[in-house]
Amino acid sequence: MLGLCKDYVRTMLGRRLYIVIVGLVVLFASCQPDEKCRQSLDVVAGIALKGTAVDSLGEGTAFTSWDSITVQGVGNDSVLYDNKKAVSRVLVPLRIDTNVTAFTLTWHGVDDVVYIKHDNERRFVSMACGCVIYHTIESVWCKGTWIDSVKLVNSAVETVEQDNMQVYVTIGN
Amino acid sequence: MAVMLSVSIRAQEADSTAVVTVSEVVTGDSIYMEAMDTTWLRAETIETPESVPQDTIEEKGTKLSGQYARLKDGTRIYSDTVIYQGMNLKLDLANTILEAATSKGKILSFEMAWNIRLKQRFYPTLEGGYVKMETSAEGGLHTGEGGFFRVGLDINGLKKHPERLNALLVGIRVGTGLQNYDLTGVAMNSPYWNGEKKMDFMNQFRADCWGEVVAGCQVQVWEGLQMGWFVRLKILFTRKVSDDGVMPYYIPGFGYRDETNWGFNYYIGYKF
Repeated sequence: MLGLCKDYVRTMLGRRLYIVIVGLVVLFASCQPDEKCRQSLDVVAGIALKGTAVDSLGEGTAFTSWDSITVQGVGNDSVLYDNKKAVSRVLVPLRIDTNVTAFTLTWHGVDDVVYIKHDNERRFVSMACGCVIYHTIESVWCKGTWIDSVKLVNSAVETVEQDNMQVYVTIGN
Repeated sequence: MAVMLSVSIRAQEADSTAVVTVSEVVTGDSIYMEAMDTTWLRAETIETPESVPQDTIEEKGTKLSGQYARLKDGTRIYSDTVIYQGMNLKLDLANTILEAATSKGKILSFEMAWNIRLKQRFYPTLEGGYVKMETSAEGGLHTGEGGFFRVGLDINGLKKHPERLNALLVGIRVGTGLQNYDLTGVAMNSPYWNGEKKMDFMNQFRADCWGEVVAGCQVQVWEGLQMGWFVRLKILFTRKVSDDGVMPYYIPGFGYRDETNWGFNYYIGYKF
């Protein structure tokens, strides 16, 4: 049978097609799905700094990065940012098992807490990658120790790194 | 006595239609077909086999494509009037073996195909099968079983031949796969808050749909026994899932879920 098919292929379309087809068969036999996840699964919310330094004359100068910042989830022993230098935005993962996530931000040794109320939406990516949980932020507020206020700028929390919230800080000389 | 026949002559030039007399058919070397290894003329109409002078006929009857007469000098005349020219039932071997071998026995599939031959050119096709699978990735496990079917049309690229049933086929398919499946050990990807949390999704049901472009051949080996192969390029149409749903890792009839996929079948079958 293979000979009959070869005759027809060679007669009608040439030897090259036959070689291509044999190659395709070998390719199919060796082709396996990628069992490794090769895409980003980090879903994080971005908290950016909007600071104002007021001098003795009452004039304000904007600054947008912390000289050093420590960030830790409330209820979690692990530190996300440990005295990190020159940070303009911190990226924080939200909880998937509750609707409120809180983070302690420590700046110059003083703690403040940012609270984030959000919903959770499960999205299946693939067998190799599993699921990711996307969030939609409903509201944000803070304890108010050194943070004046927190403003929600983008409620969608997905795998794209972006500013979702802005913390406003005012310091005086 | 000369008999008028309307004959379509397939020669090295473009098809042409000429009205020739039987005497010319018998003695005219210039109108014998020179291509391939046949010396036959495809007649659009044979008025009646009885119209051909009986003393020139060696054999007459009906063939796959219609009426048939073989003259004493070896010339064979066929009419190309019969539309339905038989059907084929085929069993796939390659996909079954390849899936079982590459998955180490975890994917067991069974596939059959049925097509009919129309006017030596068109092959409407229906394919179907059943798959039972257990496959894993990154610690997650997909177990399921389901069936699939495809409908389509193939076109024979070979020159028509009234006796040979071989075909070089190019065609399209539309396929649907239905399955019940479980996904267990699916990672939830919240390492900071939940560590290596995993979830199970049980008793899922899904229907998937895809399109295919196929190419292959179908060859008559001996009597009614046929063999053939197909290569397939598959394009998945159903790529979304509901917000709280999960997609299967493997789709019956399509393969591992991806936007596109390749496939290969090797059939053994019989012509009825």
